[in-house]
Amino acid sequence: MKGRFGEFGGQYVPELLVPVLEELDNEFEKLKKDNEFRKELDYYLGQYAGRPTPLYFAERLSKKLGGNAKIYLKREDLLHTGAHKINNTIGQVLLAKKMGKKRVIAETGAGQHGVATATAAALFGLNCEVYMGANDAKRQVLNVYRMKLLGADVRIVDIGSKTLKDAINEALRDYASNSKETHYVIGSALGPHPYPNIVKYFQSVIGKEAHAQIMDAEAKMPDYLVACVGGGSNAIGLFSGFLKEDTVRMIGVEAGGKGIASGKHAARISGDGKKGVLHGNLSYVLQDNYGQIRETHSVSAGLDYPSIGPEHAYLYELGNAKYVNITDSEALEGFHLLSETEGIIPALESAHAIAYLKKLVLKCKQEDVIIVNLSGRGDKDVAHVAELEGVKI
Amino acid sequence: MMFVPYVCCGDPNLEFSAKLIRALARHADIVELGIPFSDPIADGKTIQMATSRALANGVNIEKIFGMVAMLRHEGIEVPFVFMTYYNIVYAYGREKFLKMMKEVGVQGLIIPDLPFGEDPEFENMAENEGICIIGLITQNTKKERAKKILESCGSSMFTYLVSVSGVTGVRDDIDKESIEFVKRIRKLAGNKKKLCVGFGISNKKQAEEYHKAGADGIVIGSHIINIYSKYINGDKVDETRSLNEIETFCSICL
Repeated sequence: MKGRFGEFGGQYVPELLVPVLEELDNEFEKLKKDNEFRKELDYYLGQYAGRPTPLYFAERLSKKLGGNAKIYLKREDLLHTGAHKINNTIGQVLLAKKMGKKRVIAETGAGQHGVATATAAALFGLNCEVYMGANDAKRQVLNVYRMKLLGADVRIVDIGSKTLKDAINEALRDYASNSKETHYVIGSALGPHPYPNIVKYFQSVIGKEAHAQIMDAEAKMPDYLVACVGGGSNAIGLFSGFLKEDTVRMIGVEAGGKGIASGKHAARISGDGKKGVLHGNLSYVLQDNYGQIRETHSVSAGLDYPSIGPEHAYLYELGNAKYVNITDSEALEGFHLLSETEGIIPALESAHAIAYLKKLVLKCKQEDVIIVNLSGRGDKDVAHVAELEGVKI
Repeated sequence: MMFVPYVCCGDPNLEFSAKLIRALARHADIVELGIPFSDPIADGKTIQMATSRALANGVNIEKIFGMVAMLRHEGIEVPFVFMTYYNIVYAYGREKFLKMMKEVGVQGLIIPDLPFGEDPEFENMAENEGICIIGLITQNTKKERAKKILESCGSSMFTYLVSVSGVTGVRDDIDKESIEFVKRIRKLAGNKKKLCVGFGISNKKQAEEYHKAGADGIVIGSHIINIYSKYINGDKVDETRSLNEIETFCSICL
């Protein structure tokens, strides 16, 4: 069926959005084949965002973790605005412009996708409004101000759990009401069809580059890919370059929060999520016995979401990818580990992937090659980490 | 003209909802029973607030099935339709949900985030159980698709026309586009299909205009909540005043 990954995905949306998404799908498929569009996209990814990003051999980290495996970092943290999010927002805002839209809207949790959307909107001269949960806005005052500096309006969502999922609800309502002039820039590989495909398409540049780069460096395919998974856009971006390589094992790292048993986590597949429908698609969803969506917890706002992109649910069911989780405190260890061994402060999201390496290397054979997607840098998290560790700055 | 009021079950408690349903049943042709969902993307502020009050006060699907069974047992005969989001049905089990609806006496089902054709298997299950899945048509629904929705099984009860391009919630006026939309769908539907218009309706004048344009009925949701929500305090509500005002509204509006 169209827009499905096995049984997952789909288009569970109000009727108002059905023709809107159909138009979006058609325009997207057309532009994908349009050489001018691809040229323009490549130009901005290269000259503006800073692609290609290096695939860096983290020698000291590899040694520190026992020296069995060779660990490579895909340096998405070096991109403009500090994370992989910009790959998708440049693509989608350019798409919106080609569709004749005057306004873009976005949801944001930590503020990274909001900042990346506001950035692309400023770059292409479109109006931008970003929905953000009231609780998130309180935790991320700096990003709220960054979005304002970039000319965006920040709309605070003060209902429900007042976090990312509520911001998405509100953005979907706005989109249904104003679709004539508005494009909704979804930040991760989720939402109704065609969004999971669109976001994957724009993020697949990560996997394409990494595929070529690892061949140059090692003349063989990696043994493992590791990426953190909130909605799952950085992970699907990396995985997509290796889906045809049977020997590559893909691992998505979810937020284990305070541990699965505590109930305070965002581990949909590796924790206690069940199949369900949220925000337009069928996937694994954290919910109670009655189907009400649960509140989630993670030290990292970018992983703090009750559902996971539908293609991840599918890769999991097929057995093509494995999903694990890392707790808040393990992630904080990863944060320090990379900072101290390599001089790279990772985003708390990416720190989950780093932290998992400690477990993964125990299973590795000599000379196994691992690629970790370093999806973002940690500047945004420095104050938060200091506070968590009781350090006054 | 058909009057289809909406009740958000459990706002602020189920005892009050039952009283409200009894009061509305005297005037209504169909009563729409809202099963609260934590993330109601098709709803505006009023229903969002009602939903979160209901959930905070502990309502769930089992209790709602229980309330419906009780009302049927009392002899209330007005047709009921459930209005809820797909995950509630999915989590309960699609077939089990339909069977329970049949068992307690709910004839129809509106799922705003399950557009026509998205789950054909479920549509078939409903048809087999004799449950009407009410199709929704919006101003931007394409003609061929609108035709199919008008011919779908659930249209034997009615087809829901979403009057505005947006979410639920009271609007003071009707714009020309909404009226033209109702006329257009009436023409497409012929004279036998029942069409009810919803989203944004709160008064007699609006109802009459839609009626003139060819609608058989109107759905009123947010306005009913507005009537009693000012009397809510925690999980309590001033029932006498609320029900008096509901009664007044029904007698003026209908």
